[in-house]
Amino acid sequence: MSLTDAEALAAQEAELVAQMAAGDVGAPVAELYRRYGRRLYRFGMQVLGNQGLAEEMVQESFVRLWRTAGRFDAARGSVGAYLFVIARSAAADIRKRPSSRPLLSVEEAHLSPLPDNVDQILDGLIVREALDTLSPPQAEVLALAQEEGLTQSQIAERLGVPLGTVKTRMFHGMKALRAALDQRGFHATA
Amino acid sequence: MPPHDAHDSAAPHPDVAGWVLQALDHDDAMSFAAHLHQCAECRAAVVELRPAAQAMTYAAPALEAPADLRTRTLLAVQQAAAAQPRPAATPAKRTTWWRWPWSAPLLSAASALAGAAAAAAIIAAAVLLPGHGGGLPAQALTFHLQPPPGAGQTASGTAVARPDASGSWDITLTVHHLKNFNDAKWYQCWYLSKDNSKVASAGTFLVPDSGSGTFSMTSAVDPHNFTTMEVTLQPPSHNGALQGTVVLSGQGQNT
Repeated sequence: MSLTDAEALAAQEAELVAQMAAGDVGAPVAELYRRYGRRLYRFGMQVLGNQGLAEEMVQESFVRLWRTAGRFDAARGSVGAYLFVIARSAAADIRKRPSSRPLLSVEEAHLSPLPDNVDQILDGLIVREALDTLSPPQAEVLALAQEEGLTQSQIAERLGVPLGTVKTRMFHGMKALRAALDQRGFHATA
Repeated sequence: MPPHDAHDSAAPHPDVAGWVLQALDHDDAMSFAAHLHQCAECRAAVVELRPAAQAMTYAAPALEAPADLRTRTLLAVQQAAAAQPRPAATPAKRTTWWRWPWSAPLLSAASALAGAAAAAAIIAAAVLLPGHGGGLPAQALTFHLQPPPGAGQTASGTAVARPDASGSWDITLTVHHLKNFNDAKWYQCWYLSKDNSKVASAGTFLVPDSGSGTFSMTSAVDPHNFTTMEVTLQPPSHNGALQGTVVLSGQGQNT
């Protein structure tokens, strides 16, 4: 993605927030949910560990975005980054809320404190989104190798395809993943 | 597939991906290891791809949000807007009222996240509920909750929803004898319209082993737009189901 494209997207999202600030809680909210809803939900699941609480966090994040839309300053950062600042705060509030752990200790309720590795969680979300951009055949062979530890010949047997096909899919899948990570500004170091 | 020492020197050998993922079969791995000593192109490719392979190890789980979460989220914003006029826009201050705790790559990644632009979706008219607002003072609602007929349970509960200063609704829920439901401790509280066509979450709560307790929840949803409150078991799996088994239900009354 060129810098111009990134800037255009940032400006477009800032305009959506400006529309919310002007009182439109329809289409701008729907579009921002389309762009960020899934990622916020995944974030919520990771930091809260519960489907219902994660859903609440997503809803609360967008309500807070609406409430503070008039104060959003695009010069200070992107809408996405702002939304995740809100989400982290919402997640922390949900964790502190008595109804999230009534009459039970934190340990008993299986709610650990808000993890201090939030940055790593967010990195993991970016990696997942990059993986989501791969073609299903490419993603499949990478997952079988990474998650199940299968060798290429085992993958070929599992999928019923020639070994050469697995090698080709794996190679192009890794190239595509690297490009998708670069596109998202993610620069992992080995 | 060409042998490792005979691939097109203009491009890395495809086995470089299997190498960085440690997915090559033994013979291929031995052969490629020897090849790497002689091929600068493939060594460069390993350096290029290894970070991506490492990144895969901490990829977030491939979870999908429930299909109805979008509708409920949009509804929550609509309800918040109806309950409380949006604060007037103010010029951005230069004070640090919100912080940027993340790294520069993350910030640019967040900007890049949006992907291809698409036409903005319009909220389906079916989910747009009339706000209670209109200048009328918000009134507390009480729901007396009982098990569904024939449930064979003795559980009971009372929920009181009161507006707070921020425009949200504070819900105080007291339940008794909520237990022995497949050992589930997580419950969800819902508002339903008269014909059950409109549903909004009022909160999620934990129940101790005693099955009794008082819980506080906060919701942006105006309960006056609904007639009934239901308490359900949280669905046991991530199946996108809106509700689990109903354990308590009751209609709202102004208090």
